[in-house]
Amino acid sequence: MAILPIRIYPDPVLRVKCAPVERFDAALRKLAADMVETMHAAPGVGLAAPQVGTGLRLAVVDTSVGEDPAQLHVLVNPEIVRREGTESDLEGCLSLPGINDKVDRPLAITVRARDIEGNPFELEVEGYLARAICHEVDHLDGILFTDHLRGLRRERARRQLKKLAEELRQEVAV
Amino acid sequence: MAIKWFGGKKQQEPQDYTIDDLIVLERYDEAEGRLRARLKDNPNDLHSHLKLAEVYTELRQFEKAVDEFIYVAEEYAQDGFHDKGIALLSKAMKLAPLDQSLRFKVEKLQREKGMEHVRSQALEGLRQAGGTQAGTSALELKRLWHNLATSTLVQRLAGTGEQIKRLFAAMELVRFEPETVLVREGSRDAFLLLIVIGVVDAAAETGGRVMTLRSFTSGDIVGEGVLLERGAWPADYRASGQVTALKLTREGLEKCLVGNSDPRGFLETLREQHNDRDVLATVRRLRSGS
Repeated sequence: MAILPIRIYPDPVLRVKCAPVERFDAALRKLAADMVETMHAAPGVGLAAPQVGTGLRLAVVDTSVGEDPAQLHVLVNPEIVRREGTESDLEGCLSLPGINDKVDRPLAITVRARDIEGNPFELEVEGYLARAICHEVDHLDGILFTDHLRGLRRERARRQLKKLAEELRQEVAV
Repeated sequence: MAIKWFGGKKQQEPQDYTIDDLIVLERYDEAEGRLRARLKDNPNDLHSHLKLAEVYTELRQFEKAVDEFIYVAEEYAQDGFHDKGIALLSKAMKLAPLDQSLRFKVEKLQREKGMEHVRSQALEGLRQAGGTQAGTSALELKRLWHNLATSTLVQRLAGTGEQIKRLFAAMELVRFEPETVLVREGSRDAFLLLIVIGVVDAAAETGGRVMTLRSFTSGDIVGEGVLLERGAWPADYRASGQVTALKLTREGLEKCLVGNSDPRGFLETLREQHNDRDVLATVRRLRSGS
């Protein structure tokens, strides 16, 4: 297993609409395992494949951050098929370090996906886990949580993103 | 040698950066192109106009930025968001500090904001004036009010809003096509027009030529002498372009006065406009000189 470099905004891969996974093979298993390790090391509660530079519909979520193996979910080709209610809560993103804001998400969702072996399953989740899954599924469509912000919050996020992009440019220049 | 290739599975294309991304990345030309394309599909998208103003600012195309800021500010103001409109005009003023018209626009919005306390009554009056006519949606009424709010007549009648409501409710919303003659010189048709949108020209024949004596626009009234003093129209009045106006007839005036707490003040305010008298004086002066 390996810790993968996390792609930081404005890496264009973060705007990729990811392709569905079609081959459930060893390479996919390795990618998923590496993503789990990368997420735990960060530490984070979720990671989507484009965040490690891969345009595939694969995401891992673990709201216990490695404390409870039962809470680790590997979602291949996830699709949110039911959304219920709305709740606003603070979010951050490993690809947007230092940027946090309140985002409206469904209170409860049903997500349909396949496991790492390709077996279909459905999850009915709510609260923080539902939020994390929505956040990661957005990544698979090239959507960042800052895209959901409006008005002054959006303007503030844009300034922060600009600063982030500037810092990255300076790092590359060094 | 050419290789025949049938495509197979299409490579997933990266999704374009969002407009916000392009701004963040300082790719302003691309952002401008995307915003303009978006506005082509939806010309009233204020959010895109606002963003375009910011992009033009970054591109140092200040005149274009000012135009966008003005457009959005006026749209906001028409919907009653005066503070937002003033804030945007202030941004525009920073880009064009020598442009006096921006200062006037800010002052106009401030005056309009000061009329907020009579707005709902005025809108109610306008709704009654519009009746069931097409094109008198809530939005249209707000736009009519925006055109009238800072006029002298409305400012003088403002008070608690009661007189404005009374006046508007007794009027009829009328529209004229370009070049329509509203009334001929010498006519004794007793009505008064409060112009809401467009321009009305007063013209008279003198020395064998028709001369435009004066142009009236939003907030001006014509015909007050005819209605209140039972005089004759002093000139021909013609719609210069599309004109929307509020018409007050003798019956309407009676409705305004019945139960009015200050009928004398109400009539005085209408008389104070002196527009008919001024036009008549001009006609006499021209004709006596010719």
